[in-house]
Amino acid sequence: MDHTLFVSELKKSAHSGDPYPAAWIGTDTLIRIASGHGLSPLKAQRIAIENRILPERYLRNYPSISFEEHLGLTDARVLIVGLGGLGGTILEILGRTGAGFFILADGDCFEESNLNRQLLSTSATIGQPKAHAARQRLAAVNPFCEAEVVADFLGKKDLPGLFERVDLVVDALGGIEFRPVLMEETANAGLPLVTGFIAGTTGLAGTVYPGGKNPSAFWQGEHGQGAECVLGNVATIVSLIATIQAGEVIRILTGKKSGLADKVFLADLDSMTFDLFEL
Amino acid sequence: MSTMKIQVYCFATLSGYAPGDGQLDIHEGATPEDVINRLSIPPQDVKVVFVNGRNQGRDVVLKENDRVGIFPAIGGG
Repeated sequence: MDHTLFVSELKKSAHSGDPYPAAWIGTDTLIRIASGHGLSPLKAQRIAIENRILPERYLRNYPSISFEEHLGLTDARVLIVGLGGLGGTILEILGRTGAGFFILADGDCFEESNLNRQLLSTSATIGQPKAHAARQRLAAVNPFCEAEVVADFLGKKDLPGLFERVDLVVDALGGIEFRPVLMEETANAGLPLVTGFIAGTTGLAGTVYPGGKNPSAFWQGEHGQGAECVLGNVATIVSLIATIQAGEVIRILTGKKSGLADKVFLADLDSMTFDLFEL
Repeated sequence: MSTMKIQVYCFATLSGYAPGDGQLDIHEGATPEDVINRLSIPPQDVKVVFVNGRNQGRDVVLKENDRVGIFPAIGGG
């Protein structure tokens, strides 16, 4: 499709770089112009970046995230399974950074005991489905992002239909029970899985590629046997591990080499231990 | 039998079993399995053992100054 007229209007409305190192355009202006040309905000974001005009909201990503890397993020399709402590913070970071499309899956509703650590939970969202709160938050944070919601707990049979529509899967589940299934099915679909898991003040994160090594030994046991059931989950380690996962997702989506393939990152905020283990 | 010093780190629900300063004197030729027994950690609670940052299992022979990390099942999110 020819976007010549849109691009022409875009360039007229864009600001020269100064005082920033790149040409830029404000969110409202870009969405208004896009609407006049029948373009979605995400499509408009892509065309703007192709033409080396950065949406103003990403200026402080630049040049740590280049135009080319921003295109990778714009085109990215990410499935986040679990929208509690890890998933909420991962979504926040990926949405703000500029990832384009999300499938947001969680069958749970917020309860008061989530408030200590789950970014998407507030006094106002208690009782609401986490997946719906996630979409609302994403829309408020970044209107360029697109999202679909699956407000159900996923089963094995649900996964193939979701996998064919994404490039990467984030394991942000709570509990050990479904993680091995998600990992195995993600590998069968040929996709990378970025996983994180925590208990108390201890947390770990890793990336599993098809045929690669994986941290499933941590998930041995019956439902309810993870150490988190004894120790709880505190906000510090949740947000730290979510940040590591989000960082790894951004690396992969921007074409960089995974930093956690065949490895597992460990942080323990009680002993202030940080390590990178080889699986 | 001569002994050697190793460093032992226990995480999450196992942290209480760690030796006070992280250092353990144990017989030469000891394995992570011996370390688990020596610290009275219920063996079924141990799911992962790293030696010097590598996932090497419980029966590798340890050396002086080796670092052993011991983990239970962890799956919170």
